Formats: sequence, C-alpha cells, structure tokens
Amino acid sequence: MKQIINKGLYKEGLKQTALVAVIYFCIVELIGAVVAFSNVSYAANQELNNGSVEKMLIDGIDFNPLYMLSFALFVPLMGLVAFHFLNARNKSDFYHSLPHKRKTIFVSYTLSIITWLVVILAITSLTSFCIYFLNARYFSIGFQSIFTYIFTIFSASILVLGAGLLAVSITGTIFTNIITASLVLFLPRTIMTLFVMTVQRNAPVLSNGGLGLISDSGYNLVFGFAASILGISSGDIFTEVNYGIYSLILGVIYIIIGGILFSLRKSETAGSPALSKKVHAIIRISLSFFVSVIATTVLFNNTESTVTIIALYLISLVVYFSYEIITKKTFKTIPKTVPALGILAALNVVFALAVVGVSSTLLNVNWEVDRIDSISISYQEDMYQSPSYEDYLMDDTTIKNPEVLNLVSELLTQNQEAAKIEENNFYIYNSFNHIIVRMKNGKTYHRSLYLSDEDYLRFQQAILKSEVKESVFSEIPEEVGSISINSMTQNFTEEDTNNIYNTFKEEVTGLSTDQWASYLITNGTLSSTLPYVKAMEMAEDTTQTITYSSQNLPSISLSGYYGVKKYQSIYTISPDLTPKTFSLICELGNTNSKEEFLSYWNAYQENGIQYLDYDQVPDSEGGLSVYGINFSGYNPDTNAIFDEYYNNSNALGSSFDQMEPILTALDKALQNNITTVDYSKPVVYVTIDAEKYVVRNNDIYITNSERLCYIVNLDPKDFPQSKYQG
Amino acid sequence: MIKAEQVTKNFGSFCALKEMNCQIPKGCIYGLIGSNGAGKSTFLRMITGVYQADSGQITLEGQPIYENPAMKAKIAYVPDELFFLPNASMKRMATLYDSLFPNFDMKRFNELTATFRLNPKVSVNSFSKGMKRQAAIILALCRKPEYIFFDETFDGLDPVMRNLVKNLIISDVLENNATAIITSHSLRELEDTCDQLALLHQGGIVFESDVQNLKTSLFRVQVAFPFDFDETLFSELEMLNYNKKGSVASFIVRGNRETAQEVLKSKAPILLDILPLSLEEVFVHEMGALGYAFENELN
Repeated sequence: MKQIINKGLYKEGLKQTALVAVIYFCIVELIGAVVAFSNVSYAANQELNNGSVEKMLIDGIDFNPLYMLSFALFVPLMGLVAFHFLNARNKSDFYHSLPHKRKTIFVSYTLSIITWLVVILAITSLTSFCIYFLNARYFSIGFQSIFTYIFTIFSASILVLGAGLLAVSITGTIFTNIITASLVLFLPRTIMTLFVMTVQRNAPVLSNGGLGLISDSGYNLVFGFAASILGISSGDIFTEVNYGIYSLILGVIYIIIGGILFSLRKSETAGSPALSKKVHAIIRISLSFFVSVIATTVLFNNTESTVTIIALYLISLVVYFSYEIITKKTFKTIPKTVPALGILAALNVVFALAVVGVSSTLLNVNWEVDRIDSISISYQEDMYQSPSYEDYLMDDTTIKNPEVLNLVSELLTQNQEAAKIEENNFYIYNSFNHIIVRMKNGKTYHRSLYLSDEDYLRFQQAILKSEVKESVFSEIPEEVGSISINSMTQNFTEEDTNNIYNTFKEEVTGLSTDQWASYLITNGTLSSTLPYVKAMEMAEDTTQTITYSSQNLPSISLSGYYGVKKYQSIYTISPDLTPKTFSLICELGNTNSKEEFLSYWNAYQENGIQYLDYDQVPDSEGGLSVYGINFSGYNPDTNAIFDEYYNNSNALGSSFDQMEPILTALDKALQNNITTVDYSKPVVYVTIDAEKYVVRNNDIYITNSERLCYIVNLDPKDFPQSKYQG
Repeated sequence: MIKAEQVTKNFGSFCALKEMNCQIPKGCIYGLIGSNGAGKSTFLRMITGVYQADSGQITLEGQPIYENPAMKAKIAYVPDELFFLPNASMKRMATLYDSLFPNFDMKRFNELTATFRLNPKVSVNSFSKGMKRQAAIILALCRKPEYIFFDETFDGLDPVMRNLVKNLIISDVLENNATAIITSHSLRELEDTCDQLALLHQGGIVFESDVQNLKTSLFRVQVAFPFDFDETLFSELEMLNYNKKGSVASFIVRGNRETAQEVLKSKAPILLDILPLSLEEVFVHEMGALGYAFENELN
C-alpha cells in the first residue's frame, strides 16, 4: 500500500470536480472562440472595405482574456469542492478511515484538480490557435507571448491552489478556509508593498523595483493582478516569465506545506476554526495585522491624518474581535484573546522600525564616482502603453562613460541630501524613474534620479555621447510582428505597407547616429527611458528638429516582441529626415483613395456642404451627402499651421473664403491626376466627411459614413492666415 | 486480537477515553454498551485509525492502526453518522471501494443489493435512513473484512432487516473468522448477537463479561416456607437483593443453578421457583455490586 497516488481516489477527485471543470471549460472555450472569430470578422471586414488588411498582433491577454478566471474563480472552487470533506466530521472520518496514507488522498485529489487545469488550458488554446491558423493572413501570432501568458496563468492557478490547500489543512470551516487562503495569498505581499511604499515615501530616491523581489508586486501573480485592478500597480504581469516561475515555485511550496499539514491534521479538526488554539490565534492576529499595518503606513506617510489613523486601528480591533466571535460563535472567549493584542502591537512596531532602518540605510550610501562601475537606464512601466523597442535597447545598455558616471555620482549625492530634508519636494523636477547603479564592490542599487532642467540637459547630452549612442541609436527593430501606417490618407494595402516600411528602413539606415538620436528623442520614442523635455529647446544644437504632432504628419507604427516583452515604436515620418518615405505615403494614399475621393468631391461640387434633412426627402433613390470638410496644413517656410473644419452651420463663414485657393488647387490636382506631394512647399490635407444614403418608402436610410483625405501642395501666397504657429 | 492499553483521548477539555484497557480476541462478536458520550464511537474511530490516541496504544494483531494502510484494509467500519460521496450511487461507491480495498467482492455486492432490494444505480441521497444504513452495511461487508466495526448500526433498521444483518455478521464471523465490535445503547439489541459484552462509562470499561456466563451466573429465586424465616436461612448461597413479602422471599443468586436448587430443596420449601434474569437485570445487579446505579447509565 506504499502509494503516493491512488488511481481510484484520483478518478474520484476528477468526478467530484467535474461539474466546476465543465462549466469553466465551456465559458473559457466559448469566449476564446468568440474573441478569435471576432478578430477574424473584423479583419475580414477591413479587407473588404479597404482592399487590404494590416496584420493584427495576437498576443497574451488578447488570446483569451477569460483565462484569468482560472485562478480567480475556478481553481479555488475546485479546491474547495475536492477538499470540502475536511470541514465536516463524518466526511473527514470517512476519508481518514480509507486504507491509504493521508498523503495519498492529498496527492490524488490535488493531481485531479491540476489535470483539469492543464487539459482545459490545452484544449481551449488549441481551439484558438486553430482559428487563427486557418485565417493566418490576418494575424501575426506572438507565440512567445502567448505561451508565456498560458504559463503564467497556470502558475497563478497553482499559487491559488497551494494557498487553498494550505488553508484547508489547518482550518475546518468554509469561512476560515477562505480567510486563511486569502491571508496566505495576499498578506505577505501586502506587507511588502506597504513597506516599499513607505520606504519610498521616506526615501524618494528609491526607484520602483529598488528593493529587489519585495518591490515588485508582480512576482505574486495573483496579488499583482489584484493590484492592477485597484490601480496600485501597472504593467502586463502575465507576459513576464520570471513572475510565472516565482509564482509557480511559491505555489508548489505551499502545496508541499499543505500536504505535510494535511498528513498531520487530526480528523476531529473538521468543523473547528483551526487545528489548534495557537493556529487560530495566529490567523486572528494576521487578519487584524492586515488592517493595522495600513494604519501604520498612513502614520508614516501623513501624520496629520490622525482621525484616519485612529479609525484604521479601531477597525483592526473590530476585525480582531469579530473574527473570534464569528468563528467561536460565542462572546465568552473574548477576554482570553486580549493578551494577544500585545503581539499585534509588537508586529506594527517591528514594521515601523524596519521602515526607519531601511530608509536610513538608503539615504546614507557613498556615491563617490570611484566606487561606481556602471549604470543602466530602465524603462518605466505604463499600464496603457508598451515600451518602445528603443526603450528596451536602453534598458539593456550598460553605461560606463566617465562623464555620465561623474554626473550620476554628483546628482545622486545631491538627491540623497535633499531627501533628508523633509520639506524638499521632488516632484517639481524632471526624473529618471529607474536608474540601476552597479558598484565596484558588487552591490547594485536601484534609484530614481531627480534633475532640474539644466541638469537634465547635461545628463542627456552625456548619455548621447556614451555607449547608448551605438547600442540604442544604430538600429530599428528587426523582429516586427505588425506594421501599421497612420496617415490622414488611408487605404494602404499590405504591399503598400511593406513598401513604405522598407523605404523607411532604407532611409533611416542612411541617417547619422546623431540625426537619428535627436529625432527619436524629440519624437518621444524613448518616452519611457529618455523623455523629451523642454530643456532641449534651450540648446543651441542645430541638429534638433521640432516636434511633429501639430503638422499632421503620417507615422509608422511597429509592434512586436523584444524577447517575450511586447514593444510598440511609433515613428513620425519626417519629410526632412525621411523624405522618400513621406512622399511615398502621400502618393500611395492619394492614389488609393483618388477614385472614391473624386466621387465625394463631385458630390460637394454639386450640392456643396449639406446636412440630410429627414423632413425633406430627396427625390433620388440615394446618393452621397457631404456634411463636413476639414482643411489642415503646414507651411515649412513660415512654420505656420492651420486647421479649420466646416459643416452645414459655418460653411458660409468669412474664413471659408480663404479656403477657395485650396479648393482650386485640389480641383486641379484631381483633374490632372496629381498624386505626388512636395513637402518643401506648403501642404494641405483636405478631409471630406460624407454619408451614403438610400431612400425607401419616403424615408432616408444612412448606409455608410466615411471620411477620406487628399493631400495637395499650395502656393505659399495662398496659405491661409492662422492664429497658430508651429 | 484487538488490544487497547491505557488509551486516553481528549477533545479540548473533554476527556472521551481515560486510560482505557481492553482485549478483544479474534473471532469474537464484542458488544460495547454505554450511554451517550460514554466514548463508544471514539473508541471505534480509534481502532479504525481515524483518531490517534493522545496517550496509550491501540493495536491490531500487534500493529498500530493509525496511518497503517495494511491494517485499515482489513477493517470495515460503519459509523453512526453515515457519509456517501456527493450524489453517488451504490455502484459508484462500490467502484471506489473496489479500487481501494483489495478484497472487495463485487459479486457479493450484486447479490446483497438484490437481497436487500436496493437499486445500486440511483443516488444514495434518495434513500430513506434505513435504506442508507443497509447500503452502508452492504458496502462494508463486501470488503470481506477481518474486522467489522458497527457503531449503533441497527438504529433505523426494521426488525426483519435487523435479523438479516445480524445473520450476515454471524456468518462472516464464522466463515472468515472475523472479529466484530458492535456498539449500542440498547442491551436487547446485543443480547442475542454478541459473545462478549462490555459497559463503557465515562471513558473507561467498568464491566466486561461473556454473555452466556452472564445469563447463567445469576438467577432469581422465589421461595416460601411454612415457618418464619429470614435471609440467614440461605447463608450457603451468594445472595443479592433479598426481598421478603409475607411468607414469600425473592432474591437473586449468583452461582451454579443446580447446586442452588438442591440446597433450597433440602430446606423443604412449600414454594420454589428458579427464574432466569434478562440481561438488563443481570447488568443492573452486577453494576449494583460494583457500586453503579445501572438504570442511570443506560437511560
């Protein structure tokens, strides 16, 4: 009988959890298929409407967003169902009377839950993959990201399962099962997060991630997920393999501990709040510490919030006694729990002392330049945007340039001294949120660097002359999953997109490193690591180019993977640096949309700007109605821009008269089939909004609403007067 | 042999078993009687390996039972509070037991379900209390156990079923040399099934004896003489509970019935009746001799 797993018990575990597993499978399979088919449908529609489709990048969470339910709902449910026998005497006695060691029961049932998890993830993933493979022309599949996502989901599920098994092994009611599992999952990381937050408040020089594993809430995937929902943390935690590995190991450790405790557990614990009075007290103290430590954190961060602090401490006392009353179902044991409040108080004191100690250590580092070996500049996580390719290159670059290291030494020392003065407000300065400083003695520090505008400029200039110049500014992404062209004109086929991208690559490769570096910084491509600040305008360096956002210039967006991490780099197509690419985009856009744009133009010329009046139904069966025209443009000679929109209500306004030369130029371009654009001359984008309609039974029905653009050159003397200057 | 030596078991501040000692020989049908809270169920759970003793030792064939799958495989235990797998049918339970117990006899299972007229394919939850108990008994006996432990098992069974179950137990004991322990708080239930009886009270065995011996060792005598007499007339007999009304004396005698009869006849009574006692009456008097008020223990 020396078995670790028993086939009969394993099958029984599968049967008992089958209902939950089947519901889980149905929901996840359905949503996965719906998401995949929706993407196919969207891509197919795009192809139908535009004649082309840009490949959609399918990665991580996009693959199946409901995988989160694995660890958030279904695995915990399966755990509770399989091990519910531990909460009732007769059930517990039954299992413990079976001719097997307790560990056999534990392992067999645990494996049955893991089996369901693996099978369901495998089958649902396969379904989604099949749908995407069958429609491969529409999609770029991020395999690495997807497999990482599935792995992290599995890891998070194992973590939740482990916490649950540990909890049921030491408690004997549903209520205490859930409370204890929640404490196991969330309390350690909550303490760490509050600790780091408080230390950062006291020592703002510490960057995010500055205290290693304890700084990063993503390592506990379940906590990280909850924190991201609450807005406490950012970043896509389910694409980080390290997080998955850590959570998996932690989950396995919990399972092992749970197994050991299960084997030691007495059957008579069923129905009791905990294994013993001591365990019960530990759970009670931990639960109230969860609340009281928040109060202690607030005490550090804002001593003026007296009412909040007192209220939080009182709440923790209420939690403390309430837990006792709920679990013991009597008030009589309350007096006996009072002495243990001393332990609760002591824990808070230890927490506070630890904060003070660590903060003090952080603010007393010797930053002499002779002690610094190198630095790196790490990207800032953003919930809404992936870092760019260049941000990742920067993150991987080790900087040993002496000028940079001197500056870092000087600035870190200044920051450290300033942080010791409580009144000093760092938030008015520019900052590098995450600098990694490697010392010659082997230690590594993670710091935020705060700089004035002048210091920022010095620092940036030094970085641009360092190793960063070659490592970051000498390439554009090689591994590209998806390319999209953003332009006022649309209708780019896949061939057009590839053509534009290849032209762009060729032109960029021909640029000098300085030109490209300057462009990337002012374009904001390095917003996560080397953001553009106003300080740049103070320089006399003539290689600078001005920002492009006001000129309605097209851009090319590249998405893909840097290892397992997703990047997105958006490059504005500068007519100065990449004139061929710019011209190509304008020409292709004009060429592709000319025919349709001509029909809009003819409709405008026939009827002007009109608004469909549902009370005055036209006699025709249907047609095209132009309801708005937008004119925007840029004059490179004067740096002037303008942007005017006209609809039915202001079509006859005085400023519209200024647009007459534009309309003439447009007409000429359309009649003479001029599709090319010379950016050295004033450029105007004419965008027409129109609706296609049909008339049935004396009613107007809108069948389609579109916007098309055509780009033309304009004589400088005809460029409209505008209050805006670029 | 089942042996308990100085076994103690506590639940918090409540002492369920206190330095309990007993030996139950192989092939015996052992009846354990006691009031609610006496420790019967606790004892059975301990010899089933569900509970572990806080002190002392319980062994089966000289081996501990707790976390001993080899010993547990020989045991069939039907508790007072039954449990079946959620929504399980008897068939599903049997399938599980078949995979867990090496001697499980599926053929016997089919025969017994037919005998008891239970549908093995429907959920046990749909059975009545009595039917659930029958199902539990069938599943237990189909394991072909060497040790059968029934905890107040006859509760909820009708008289016909009760007899059927008793016969099954006796048959298993005789055929397989199995040992059975049956607990109850009713002596009448155990009287015609058990070889040995023990009374458990406040965590310890206070009285233990062979049933046959109990039945024959005590008897009631009713005697009358034409002359006046008192209890000294019967000084040769071991007498309990002497009672005289008028010229008729009634008393309990411990000893050999024939010998006592000869002694009494020699005194030329005008009335002599020797009547057997019920097991309950025997217990009352034996406990009385030990200083316990037996009526209170059994009610």
